[in-house]
Amino acid sequence: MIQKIKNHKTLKKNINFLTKIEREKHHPLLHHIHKKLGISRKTIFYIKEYGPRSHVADVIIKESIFILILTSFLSAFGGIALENMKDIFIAILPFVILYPALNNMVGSYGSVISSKFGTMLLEGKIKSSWWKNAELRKLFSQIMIIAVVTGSIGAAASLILAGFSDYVVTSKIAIKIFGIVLLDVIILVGILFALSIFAGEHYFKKQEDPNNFLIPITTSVGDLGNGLILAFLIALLF
Amino acid sequence: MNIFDKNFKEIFSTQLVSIIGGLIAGTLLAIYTDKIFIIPGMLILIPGMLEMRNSIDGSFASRLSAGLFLHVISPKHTKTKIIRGNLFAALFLGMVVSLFLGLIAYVFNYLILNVSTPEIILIPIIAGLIANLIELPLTLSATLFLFNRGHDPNNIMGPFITSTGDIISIISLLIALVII
Repeated sequence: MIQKIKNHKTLKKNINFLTKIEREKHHPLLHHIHKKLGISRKTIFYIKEYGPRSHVADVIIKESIFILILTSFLSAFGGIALENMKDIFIAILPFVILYPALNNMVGSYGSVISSKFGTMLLEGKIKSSWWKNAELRKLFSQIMIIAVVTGSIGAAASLILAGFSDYVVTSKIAIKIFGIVLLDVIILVGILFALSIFAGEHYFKKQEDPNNFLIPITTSVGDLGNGLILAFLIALLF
Repeated sequence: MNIFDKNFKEIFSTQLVSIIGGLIAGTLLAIYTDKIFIIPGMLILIPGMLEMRNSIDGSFASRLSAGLFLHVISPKHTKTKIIRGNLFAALFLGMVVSLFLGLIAYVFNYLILNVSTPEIILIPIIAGLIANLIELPLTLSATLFLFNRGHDPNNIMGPFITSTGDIISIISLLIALVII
């Protein structure tokens, strides 16, 4: 029950009540505490989620477990594609060296693209014709340039490191590896952008915060796509 | 339209740091290829385990940072309910996801490769436990250290966790293989 915040005791009672409010539901108590005491909404949300009467571990586990299992499931599928051609994959030493770095890169691009697009949606910068949005086009150009440059750096580093072992690096192998890595990152950045835009607009229209959904979706699709595209290109070129 | 602005430089520099960690982890994979890939299904485990570390530790660092900035968590008192709850949740989630990955790999091996490899279920659980025991205190210490030094942990912990998570995941897998 809401009580007027007269003193420390009533504040404590109200805060205890606050932790019982379901996270999706708005309650006038939240606004009341914010207005009366000047406590920011973010602090109130944090106390509601992780306050003295809440079970912190329960809240975190309930909110995270489904999405973590889903993202792991999708990542594992990317691995299945590579497991099917394991012998070829592990024979190409530069790819073994580069694989964790490529996975990281793709996951990071997914996070960056989806968090920035989610913020643009929340700030009202994205109208119906998103393809005309200058900021979005700039973000796309930036991510694409970074992906190509860092992909090239990664490919070059993996070839150099592989050269220190018994693996013989020829110009033909180097060209194939550069080609596969660049194709992989270019295709994936395109897919992640498309996914962020369509999924982001979908959740935004449903009045959900796109950031809650886009980041796990794009990072796991990135992992899945990375495994599938690499498996396909390696099978094609090697 | 200036493409090479502050945003570009920030994303580029964090990507470079992530790549370094990934390449170190990849080098370890390459050195111990004969030990790691001898068991079928390891390529199914590896991307999932790397992704899991980033998700769990990244969220943990992010919640800690939010609590520190909101003054709900004090950097001087680490034995609080919020921190203990976060640590327990991260450990629990790590174990559950590791078990799940092991089961997917086992099912794949059994159905597609017609090979029964029950050790593939234990390997990610042991590796996940070892990685959690190393990475969680490291994430907690690093976040508190950065905050105490006046930095925003959110800007630094992302690439830090990505890089250290990759290396620690691969080392943990190797230790798990030795134990099994």
